[in-house]
Amino acid sequence: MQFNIHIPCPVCQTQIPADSNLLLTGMQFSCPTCNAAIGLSQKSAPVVEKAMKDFEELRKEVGNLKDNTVE
Amino acid sequence: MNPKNIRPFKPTFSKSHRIEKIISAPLEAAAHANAMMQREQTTYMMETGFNENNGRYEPIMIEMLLVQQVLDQDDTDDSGAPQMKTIKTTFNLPILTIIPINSLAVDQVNVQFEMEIQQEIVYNNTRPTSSGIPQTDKTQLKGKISYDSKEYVPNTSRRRQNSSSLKVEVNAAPLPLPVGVNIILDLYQKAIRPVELNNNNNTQQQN
Repeated sequence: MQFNIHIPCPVCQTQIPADSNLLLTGMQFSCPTCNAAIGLSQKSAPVVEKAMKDFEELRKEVGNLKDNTVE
Repeated sequence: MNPKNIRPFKPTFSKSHRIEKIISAPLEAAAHANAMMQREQTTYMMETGFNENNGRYEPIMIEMLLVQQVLDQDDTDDSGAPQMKTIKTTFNLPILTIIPINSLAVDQVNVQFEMEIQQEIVYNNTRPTSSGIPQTDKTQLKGKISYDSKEYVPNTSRRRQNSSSLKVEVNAAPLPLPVGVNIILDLYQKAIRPVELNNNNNTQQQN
């Protein structure tokens, strides 16, 4: 599994590898040190979903920019 | 993003240029693209990650769940052993910490072309410098981009003018995430700590 972010564990401060898209699906990620699990609250899911959607659009724009600029 | 600012790099085959100019042109284009990406990324970060309040930017926070298994001393089985209990708590994080923003950049630039050296200019410099050490002669090369040797077709206008050719391969890679952004993310991460609010095992994290 490919992790694209690291979130510090609130209990022991160990970096927990996670994936922002999988967090949106409700998946939880365990701390490798203390086994505490973190996940995204349903309350914040719409905000994160919109942010990720905007981010994907930005990535597409950047992809077009790369293709058009350097040939 | 203004499409008028996008200028595709098209090699000129007929005109002779300074060799530095030929090599730097595609790299300048890549740097220009990278700068545009950084601007877009900054705009995205400011709009997505912060709320402006009278000229003051406050981070947009999201709520996260923390699930832990703990031994509950109050809840024991028949033998008196404490039972495992699942505790769900919440903590807040800035939204920027869960978006992989460092993935937006020109990851690699590979420029490959062949060029013909058409002119060599040597500047003789005999005047000593202020340190007394005489300067060395400077050589400037002028050339033009040649057609790919794989496309070589004899007896046509594409035929190479002479054999003084160079094969140029340039690799460039971006710098990591800007220091300022790293500092902001680092401060956010260091500020994460659980704060107990009441006695019923409900904690909340503040930043």
